[in-house]
Amino acid sequence: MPPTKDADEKSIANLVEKYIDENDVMIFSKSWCPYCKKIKDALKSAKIEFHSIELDKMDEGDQIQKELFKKTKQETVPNIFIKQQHIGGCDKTLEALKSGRVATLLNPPESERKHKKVDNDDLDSKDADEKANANLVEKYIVENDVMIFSKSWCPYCTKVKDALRSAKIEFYSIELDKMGRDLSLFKLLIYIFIYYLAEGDQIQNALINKTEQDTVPNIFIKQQHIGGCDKTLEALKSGRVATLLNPPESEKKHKKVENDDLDSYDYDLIVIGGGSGGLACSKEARSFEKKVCVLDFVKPTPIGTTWGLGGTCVNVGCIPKKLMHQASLIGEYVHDSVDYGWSQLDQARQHSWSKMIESIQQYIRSLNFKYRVDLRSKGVTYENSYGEFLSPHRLKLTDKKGKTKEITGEKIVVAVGGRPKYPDIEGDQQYGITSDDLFSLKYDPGKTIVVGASYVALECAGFLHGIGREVQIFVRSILLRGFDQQMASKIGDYMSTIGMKFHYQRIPTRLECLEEGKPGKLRLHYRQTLESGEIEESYEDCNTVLFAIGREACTNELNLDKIGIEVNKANGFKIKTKEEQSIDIPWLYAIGDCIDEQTMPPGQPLELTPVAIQAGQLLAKRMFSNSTIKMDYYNVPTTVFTPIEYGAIGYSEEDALSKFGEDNIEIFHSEFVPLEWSICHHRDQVKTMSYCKLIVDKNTDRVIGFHVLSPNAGEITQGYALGMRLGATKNDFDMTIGIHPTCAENLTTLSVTKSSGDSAAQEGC
Amino acid sequence: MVHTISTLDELKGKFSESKDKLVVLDFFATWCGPCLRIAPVIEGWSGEDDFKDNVVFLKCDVDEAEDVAKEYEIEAMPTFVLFKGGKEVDRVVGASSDSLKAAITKNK
Repeated sequence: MPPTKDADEKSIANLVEKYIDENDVMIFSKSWCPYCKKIKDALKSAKIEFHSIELDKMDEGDQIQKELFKKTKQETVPNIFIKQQHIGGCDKTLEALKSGRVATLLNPPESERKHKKVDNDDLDSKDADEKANANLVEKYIVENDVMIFSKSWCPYCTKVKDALRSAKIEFYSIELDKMGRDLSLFKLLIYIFIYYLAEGDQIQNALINKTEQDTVPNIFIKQQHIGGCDKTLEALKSGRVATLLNPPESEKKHKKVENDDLDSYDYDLIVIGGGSGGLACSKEARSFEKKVCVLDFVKPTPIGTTWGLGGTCVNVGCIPKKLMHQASLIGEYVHDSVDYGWSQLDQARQHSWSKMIESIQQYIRSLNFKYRVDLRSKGVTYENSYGEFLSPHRLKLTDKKGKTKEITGEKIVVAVGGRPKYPDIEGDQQYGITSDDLFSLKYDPGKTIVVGASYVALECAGFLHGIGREVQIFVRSILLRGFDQQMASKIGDYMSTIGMKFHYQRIPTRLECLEEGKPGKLRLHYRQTLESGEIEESYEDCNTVLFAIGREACTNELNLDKIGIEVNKANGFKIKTKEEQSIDIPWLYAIGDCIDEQTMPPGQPLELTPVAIQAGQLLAKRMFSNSTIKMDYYNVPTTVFTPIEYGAIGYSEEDALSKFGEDNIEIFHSEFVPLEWSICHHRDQVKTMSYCKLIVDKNTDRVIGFHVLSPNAGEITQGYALGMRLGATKNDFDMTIGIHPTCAENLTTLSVTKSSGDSAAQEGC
Repeated sequence: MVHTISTLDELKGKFSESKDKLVVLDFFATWCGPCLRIAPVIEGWSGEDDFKDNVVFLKCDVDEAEDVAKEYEIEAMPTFVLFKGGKEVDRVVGASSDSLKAAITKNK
């Protein structure tokens, strides 16, 4: 298996140095090695903390082992360093433990000791000596990016703190006037408790010695002395503070690699995101009796829409979408009813948006409740809070009232999903809506322009039209990018034929509100490239504009960069993973819509609930048991619920051609008429538009691509997905007896190939 | 008259007020059809001679008062919890007015 990164020698050497420097006791280990276990046990008994990494579980493990040999001439594990001194393997370390050498290394005589913690012993009298105070001051300055020595009553101190808060710059301050004889507990953001008994005055003296400034506030940023209130406000304004806090890439030091001592975590697993993936993963983890916490929080849309537990699928995705799709199908059946003998249904046909929304929202809210109860009954702690990373194992939680708290997790799964994108034009967030708003919209959308050609755009346009609203679709270039394009264009043909207007090469430029209201009157300005190549600027008036131009992962407010995780800016800001594990940090994982996963087929975003669920469950099994079953992202069946549904498994024709070559594949296809439509006059124009094709690898006869455009394509495709998973051949399909009369049976009787040039129209029964 | 409860404190207050009287607490949700259907029935009972002096009727929206719902482990709506002296003596799950009436009659 090739390494995930092109880790070159130098960066491996740096990585090894980092581990040695940042841990008093560092063990390079392998998970199956009995000597490694032996020495770890011995250290645990001696109550000596250590950090170990398992080289067999790391992609760059081999390279690290090579580097260690280079450095120490030792090629075995465990390879142990104490306070940056190479000790050796298990035997040598046991010996050093026994002889007291380990103890001496860990606790050198007083003069050599660098202060980490300040102990009570140093300062237990009123006359705490100057050195101790100076050390204390240094400690504050070193351990806080922005350090303010302050006094509680001082207005300039308050002024500069307010300014920093508005600039969203975190700081730490101590109030010198409040420091006295009584024990004051100061908990730094990321560090350990400090107890001390010192006079504020003496701190102030130490500051005078250091900076020649005798007033408060006395402010340090990244260990640089800035000055008082005025100087700091100036530095804020000039951008100097920003530069100090965010130095150029090359100067960034990696944060400390944290100790993996089990006792120090609040939870075995924290899952960020209570959607399809997050909930499945957390519940599966509970079956291994782990302590699990799920965080879920919905940031409202620009117009204020919000929803409960369950994620996108339940609240603003699959569930309401399918129900609205069904609403529109029922409208079609009412048209069909005439030819089946029903009278008067068609004339009386009316659709109430608010009634549909009420029914759907009631169901969704019952699901939100059900999920909360489910988590509780399975013993998962649920926090309705927004989580942000403070350090690789620590999260800050903010609830809807603004209250915060911190929790730590040994393993963390990011399952934050995604949200719809806005086009970044004037008026887009103010007057436009997205699918996040549509499914609970409190007023009838009326005449709607859908901007986009994604499956979300086409599905929404489809059901809006089906329930009787006038719909126009603005398409920038092609329909359903990433999907089989022949099928995409057939969907477009069907939708146009039933009355939806597509406008190609049309890009919105500005959204204006002509009249407020529910719905109001909007004017969408656009730029259109005509066939001649000319560019035309014009506008279209409507009641609602729905933007469905794509989605982005919700990763930009998690502080991922703070912990060294990079997101893929070119791919929806998704987190890069391999087998759902972060390629940057080994105890951080991610699943679902927010990941850019290496083992997924390229170019095919699999932002689907069942994918997230399966990945989440398998991941939990791998994290907490010795399961090695990986997620298989190939042959995932999908369905687009446009007015005529489209189901697909495996390769699109374009991908099959490019991967296998024209000579190696055969495509079998057929048009067909759904029996139920054959007697309906209102379906005359679209009757023959149902279609299916199988893409076959000539060399093996295996079916590598399955495509069906038909009513109920979702149900049809699910059944055939089992066959595809088992490696069905074209012969298997042919030898499977069809059920008559159905649409699904057409896949068992395909004989016409594309290469023959013969017509694919169906003949007789 | 059915009083609405939104917090555990309010509920405890009602318990002390009611002393030894039977307290019937209706846990409902605004999105729950059966809850909406049985509500007027209970409203009616609260004014009837049979009940108005010896039974206290309360109701609680599980979304608005999450901690009360959590305290009594409500998993389905409607759930009627019957109390005497602040302690649960019976509970009825589901919108069956017959079962509820029977439970009330038995415990009052």
